[in-house]
Amino acid sequence: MPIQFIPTEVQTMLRDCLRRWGAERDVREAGDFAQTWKFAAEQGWLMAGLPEDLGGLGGDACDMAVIAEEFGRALVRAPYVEVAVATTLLSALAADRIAAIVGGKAIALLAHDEPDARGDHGWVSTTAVADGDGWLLSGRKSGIIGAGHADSFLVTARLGDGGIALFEVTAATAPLQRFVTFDNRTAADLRLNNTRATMLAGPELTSPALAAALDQRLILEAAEALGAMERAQEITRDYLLTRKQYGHIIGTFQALRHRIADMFIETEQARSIIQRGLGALADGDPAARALMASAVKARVAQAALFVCGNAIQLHGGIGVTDEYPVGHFYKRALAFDQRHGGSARQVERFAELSARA
Amino acid sequence: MTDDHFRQEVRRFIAAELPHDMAARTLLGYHPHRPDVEFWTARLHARGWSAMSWPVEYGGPGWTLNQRHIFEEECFLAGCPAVNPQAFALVGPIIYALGTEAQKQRFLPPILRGEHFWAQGFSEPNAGSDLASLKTRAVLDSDHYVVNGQKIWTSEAHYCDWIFLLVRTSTEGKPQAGISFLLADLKSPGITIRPIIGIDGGHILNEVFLEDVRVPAENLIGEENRGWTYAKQLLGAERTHSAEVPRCKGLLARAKAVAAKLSARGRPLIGDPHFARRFAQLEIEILAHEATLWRCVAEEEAGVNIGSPTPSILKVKGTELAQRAGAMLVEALGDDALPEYPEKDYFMTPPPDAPGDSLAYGAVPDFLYRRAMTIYGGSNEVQRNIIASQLLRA
Repeated sequence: MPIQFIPTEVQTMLRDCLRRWGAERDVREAGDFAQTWKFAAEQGWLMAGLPEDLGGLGGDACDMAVIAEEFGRALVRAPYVEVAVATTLLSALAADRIAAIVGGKAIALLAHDEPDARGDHGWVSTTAVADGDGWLLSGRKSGIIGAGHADSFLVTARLGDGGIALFEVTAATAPLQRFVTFDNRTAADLRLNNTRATMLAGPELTSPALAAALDQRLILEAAEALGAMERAQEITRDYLLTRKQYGHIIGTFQALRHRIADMFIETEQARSIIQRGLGALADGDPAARALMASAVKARVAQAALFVCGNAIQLHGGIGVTDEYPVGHFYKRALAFDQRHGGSARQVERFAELSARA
Repeated sequence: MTDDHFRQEVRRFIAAELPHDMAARTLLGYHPHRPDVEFWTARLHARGWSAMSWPVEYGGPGWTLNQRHIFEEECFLAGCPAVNPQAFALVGPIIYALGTEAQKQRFLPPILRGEHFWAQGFSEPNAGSDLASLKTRAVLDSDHYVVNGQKIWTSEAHYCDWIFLLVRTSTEGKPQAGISFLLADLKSPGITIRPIIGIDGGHILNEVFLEDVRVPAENLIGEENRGWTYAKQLLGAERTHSAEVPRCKGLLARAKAVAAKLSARGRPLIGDPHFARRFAQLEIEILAHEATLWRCVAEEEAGVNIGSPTPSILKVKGTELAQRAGAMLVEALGDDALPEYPEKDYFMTPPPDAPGDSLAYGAVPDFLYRRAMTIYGGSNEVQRNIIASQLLRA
C-alpha cells in the first residue's frame, strides 16, 4: 500500500475543526476534562480510525494521527492517544467494549509498561493466578497517563506457563498510586496485589494484537509530539519577528536564522517518518511495522527535543518561565522522549530487529 | 505499470546490459571515466532512457517523478556510471525550455547519445556563493561574443566538449541584471584548462581560463542580460535532484557489508552493540530523509503544495547524511582505511599485493571528495538562509 502523503478530504476537515478548537485553548491550563471528553465524543473524534461495524467512522490510524497531532499542538491533557490505543486493542480482542468508549461513556486504558521493562515490549513480570471464575493479578504497572479518568484497565500479565494474556481490572478495584507528571498530566501506577481481574484474551490472541497496539502507540505518541514541536516552532518564529535587541528584530541575526531553519528541517523529518510509520502500520507486516515504529519514536524524539529545546533557547529568559508557553511544549517533548524506555531504547530495538532481518 | 514492476524492469535492463567489471569499478567510488560514461549513456539511449527527466518530445522516457527516483536509485546501487549531469540535468533542460529551434536541433541529440559532455562555467575565484558578482566579460563584436575571464571548480571540464557560461554583458543596474547565458565549444582558441587536484588525490575539478574566446552570437540562450533568471530557473528545475538518497543508501549498505566482513575483537563489527546502535541511528535518520523526498514527490505529482519540504531541506539533509554515511564507512574499515588507494592504481585492476580489504578501495577518496557536497550547488549555509527567508517572511 502506498504511503498516504496527501490528506484525504475527511482528514482535512477533521484537522481544520480540531485546529479551530485547539486555538481557543490555553496550553498552560488543564481545562475541564469532562467537557473536553464530551466534546471529543460529540465530534466523533473517538470513533476515528475504527471499523464502521464496531461503531467507528472507518478510516485508519492516519485519522487518529491527525487528532493526536492537533491535541499535541494544543497540549491537551486528555489521554486521546492512550484511549485510541486501548480501543484498537479491544477492537481485535473484545469488540463488545468499543461502543461505550467511542460514545465517550467509558474509558479503558492499557496498563502494560513496567518500570523494569525499559521499553522492551515483551517484558512482563506481573503474574496472573486463576481464582474461581476469575484471576488474581500481582505486579506493578507504570506510567498510565489519564488513569484517574479510566473505568477499566487492560492489564497484561504472565500466566503460569509463561504466556502473556490480557486482563481487565475495573477502576473500582484498581489499586492506583496517583501522581502528576512533570508535564502536568494526571497519571498513576497500578500496584496490583492479588487484584481481581477477568481475562479478555489468552496468549495466542493477545500476542499479535498487543504487538500491533504497542507499535501503534509509539507512532501516535510521535504524532502528538509533532504537534507540540510545530507549535513551539511557530511561536518562536513569531518571537524572532517581534523581539528587538541591538536595535534590530532578532530574526535578522544569522545565527538565529540558521537555528530556526534547522528547527524547521527537524520538524519536517519528523512529519515524514511519521507518515512512513503510518504506512507500515497500514501494511500490516509485523516485522516491518516494528522496525518502523522504533524508527519513528527515535527520530521524532530527537527532533522534538531539538525543536522544543531551541524554542526555549531562542526566546531567552522568558522561555524558561512557567508563564510562557514554549517551556510547556518542551516538557511534553521530554515526556514523550522518556516514556516506554526512552528513545535510546528504540534505536537499540531498531538495531536488534535489523540484525534479525 | 506499478512502481514495483517498473523497478523490476529497470533491474532486468541493468542485469542484461551493464558489464560486471564496469559496475565493480563504478561502485568503488572514484571519479567517472568518460569511456564508461559514454558506453553506458549509449546503452541507455538505445532503450530511450538516457534523459530520464526530459519531456518525451525531446527524447525523454515520459516517466513519473517517482519512476525517475526508482530508476536513479537502481542505477546508483547497481554501479551504473552516471550520465554527464551537467548535460542531462542542467543545460539540456535549459536548451529545450529556452533555446531556439536551431539550438535544440544542434545540441540535444548529441547529449542524448552520450557524445557531447558538458561542463558548467558558473563559479569564479571571487564569485562562489555570491555568484552574481561574477566578472567574466562577454563583449559583442558583430556576430561573435568575445569572452575574457576565469571560471573555477569546473567539474569534468578536462574531458568535456562544451561549456555553458554565465558571463557579464552589462555592468549597469544590479549585479544580477547584466548576466548572460552562453554556450561555448571547449575547443575554441583562447580556452585553457588547468587541473585542480582534489584532497582525494583525484582530478575532477579544473580552472578554465578564457582569453579573447570568440563565441558565435547564435550560442546565446534567450535574451542578453537575462542569464541570471535562466540560471535560477535551472537550479530550481530539479526540485528533488540533490536529495542524494541513493548515495546515502549505497554508502550505508557498503558500511554494513564492511561491518559484516571485518572483525572487531574477534567477531564481526556489526555485532558490536555500540557500533550497531550508532549505525541504526544513522539509518533511521536516512529513513526520515527518504520519506521527506517521497513526500515531495507525492505532493509534486498530486500538484498540491501542503506546505513544507523545500528543495533546500532535501539538499541540506541529503548532503549532510551522505557525509555521515561516508564517515561511518571509513570508521568501519578501521586500519584498512589508512592506506592511500590511488585512483590510477586501483580503478581498473587493483595491484595483487594491495594492502587492506578490497571493500576499502576508493572509500576514503570518495569520502574526502564528498566534503564538497555541502559546498557545491549552493552551500548548506546558503540553503539555510533560503529556508529562514521563507520562514521569516513577515
